[in-house]
Amino acid sequence: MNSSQHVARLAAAQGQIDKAPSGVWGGGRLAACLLALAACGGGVPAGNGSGTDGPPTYGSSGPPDYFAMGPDAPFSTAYRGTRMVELYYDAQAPMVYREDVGSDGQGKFSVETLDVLISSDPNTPLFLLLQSQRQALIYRHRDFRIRDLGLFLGNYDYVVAPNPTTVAGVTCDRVQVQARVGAKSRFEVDIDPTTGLVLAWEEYDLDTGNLEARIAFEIYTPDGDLSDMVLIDRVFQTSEYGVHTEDFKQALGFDPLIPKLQPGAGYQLGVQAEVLVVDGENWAKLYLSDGMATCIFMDSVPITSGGVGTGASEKKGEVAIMQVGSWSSLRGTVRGHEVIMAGRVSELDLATVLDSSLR
Amino acid sequence: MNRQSIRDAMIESLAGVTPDHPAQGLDKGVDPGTDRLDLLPQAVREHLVENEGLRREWRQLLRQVRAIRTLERVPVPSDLDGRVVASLQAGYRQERAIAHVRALPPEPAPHELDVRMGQSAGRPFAADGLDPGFLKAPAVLDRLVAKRVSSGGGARPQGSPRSTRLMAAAALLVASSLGLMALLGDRSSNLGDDGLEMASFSFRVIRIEDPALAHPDLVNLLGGMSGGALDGRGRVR
Repeated sequence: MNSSQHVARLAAAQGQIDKAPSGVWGGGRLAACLLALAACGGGVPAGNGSGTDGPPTYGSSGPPDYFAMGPDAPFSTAYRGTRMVELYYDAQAPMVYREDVGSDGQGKFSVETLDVLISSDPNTPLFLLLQSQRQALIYRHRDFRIRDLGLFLGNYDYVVAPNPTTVAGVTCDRVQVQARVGAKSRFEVDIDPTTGLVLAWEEYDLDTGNLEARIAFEIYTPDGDLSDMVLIDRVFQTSEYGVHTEDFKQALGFDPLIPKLQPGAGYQLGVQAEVLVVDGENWAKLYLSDGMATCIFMDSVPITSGGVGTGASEKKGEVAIMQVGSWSSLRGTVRGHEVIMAGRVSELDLATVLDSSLR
Repeated sequence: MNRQSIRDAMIESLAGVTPDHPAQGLDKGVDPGTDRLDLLPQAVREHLVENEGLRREWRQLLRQVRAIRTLERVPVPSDLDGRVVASLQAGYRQERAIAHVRALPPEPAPHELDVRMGQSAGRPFAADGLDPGFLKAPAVLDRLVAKRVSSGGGARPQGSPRSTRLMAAAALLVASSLGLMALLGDRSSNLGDDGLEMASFSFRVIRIEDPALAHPDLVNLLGGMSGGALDGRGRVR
């Protein structure tokens, strides 16, 4: 990296940091960030940055080694622990609960909500039941994680703080992360450098500086006893195929909708897709990711619809859409396809992606 | 018995579970009083006695069924009927409006319109002193529409001279072509700041503000990915 690029990036970083309210980024922390940025080269491309052709390249230090472990860490690390989960995406209805979480390091896991500490909904038994049924979604999608290292490095700036933190007795690196384009949030993430597992993360709204989510281990036991847990991996019968393969279509029994537009800058359609069998119906499940955030795109042609684009289904070009904080989901029927989507993107982004799959 | 048939038998046996059956001591091994093994067929019971994993699954099923049965029956919201009717009426009203517009006979645009279009082509609406007010439909159109609606249909406004109808059609054309941006701008500002409704998607988009009114798939996927962020509001209000 030449000196002018370095200075420009530092200035840009300072501009972003200055937008956050004081108290979140104190002067000492600001200095520490910039020091770390300069010292570690963290997240600062040496050559091509965002908005240029080709992947970014890094200085000799490069990203920390444990970044590469991020995608698999929750599944390849054997552990058990208790986490405190604080969700403030819906300002009128905060949700705070504790959960018992564990993984056998072989791909199976369990995440069971233990008790609800703050909620405006008094129906705790129902919430616990729902959480139990959603374990796979929660474990795979809720938490900050580097899901694709290449995309993450291309789409996010990061700074590794010079001083380590301690989470549940584990010494962690604190990494501050923010999307390079169109960022709405910034993240503070504590990562165990020996496993790559995220032990704590916080999400802050960039405009208001408000805390939107905080999830942290209170108790963490490597290779903990899982004997009283019911471990799962998949909820539905699932098989994987290349998105654009004939095998995928044959397994589904219909031509899946394939998005042509992405829900945000830097997103890419995953090359692997899944076929899920839910109540005897095949569903195509596609993933779009920017390396950290994920958007799920599912579609199916109901057996009763009489085929794609025929009969009553053809008239049901209608989707319902809902947004909470930085999360949105969509469900509806278009051209005979039932469609379900969700992700850490806006409502408009979801509708745009769906629309692109129909053109 | 294979594992699946044991699970099926366990699920079938849950009919006898009541909300008030003892919940204590679940983690202290087999306790017929707590585990309610008596609900299971003998063959299944023998498997559970020998297999701690199956017992855990059985206990989890019991916990879930107990939780479900502790839930109070939720009455249908009192305004549901009204909402359904309102929704249907709104839909029909829109369809009626579309049908009326489609039933309008084609009318040639007056030469004056071509001239005005040519003059304004390439000029921003608000630039060069161009008065956007000329894009508004004339008052006569309001009267015609009111008359048409009150008469209950018909392809043409009855009793109006051809020149008036021509003027109305021309005004409609101007309003709907040149005034499109302004019209969409108004709709956007009424419907929120993201302009979902104004985007030209090939499907209709309905925004759900209250999770209680959303389809369970929508709530569960979003609830699952966000870790239950939606559930703080309550499921049904």
